[in-house]
Amino acid sequence: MIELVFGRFNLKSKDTKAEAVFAFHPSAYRVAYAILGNREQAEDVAQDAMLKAIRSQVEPSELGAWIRTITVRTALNAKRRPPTRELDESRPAEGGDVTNDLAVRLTLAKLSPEHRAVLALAIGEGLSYRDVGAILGIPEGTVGSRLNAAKAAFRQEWET
Amino acid sequence: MNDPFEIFEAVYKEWRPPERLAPKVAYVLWPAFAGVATLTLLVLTQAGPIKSPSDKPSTILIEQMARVYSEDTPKGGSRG
Repeated sequence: MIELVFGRFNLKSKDTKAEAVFAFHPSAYRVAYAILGNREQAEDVAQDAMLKAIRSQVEPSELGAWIRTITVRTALNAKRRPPTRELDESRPAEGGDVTNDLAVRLTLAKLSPEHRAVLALAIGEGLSYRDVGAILGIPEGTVGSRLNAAKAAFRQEWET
Repeated sequence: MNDPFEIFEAVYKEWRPPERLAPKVAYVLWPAFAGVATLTLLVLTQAGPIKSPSDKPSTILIEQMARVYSEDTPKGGSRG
């Protein structure tokens, strides 16, 4: 019975892993929110990534990249489905500049999901081209060109 | 701060997951819930089926629960 309930898990080490995994929860949420533009969907995607990470056998040093990869892929797949609501009308967080927050979200909503993803990872998360490329599954050179295109699109939409 | 990407970065860092019962909390607490459920099942199983009104099931159950509780609880030292 106890074996059935608790399985073969070492609870102490699993709790430690959960701590390590959930350290990336805010990051996963931000990336998902940048791509999806919807709070609830972003939280669903982030939590899904957390659960997958806990169940995985990923090395602790690779958790961050692994979680971001799962998050981006899940969010991009979700984005390809028919949208329920393009832009969340609620404030995503307390504090900060409300006007700028809305302006950023409105601008992101006009970009392609791929451009949102590269902006979130490279500018929002501050990751290197190499890391962004590994997450998106594209070469570093492509990251550079995609980021330039995303920045140009963002700037154009921002100024209109 | 007029650069749109500086603004993007500042806004982006303000985004936080909604405040609610975090899965972390549920994850940490689930062994406790499972433990209580297991203990309850154990007590109910050991109490056995009710055979007749003369068995006084409620008394038997309470005795069984008290026994399990006393076995699981460390005995305190006597005063004096």
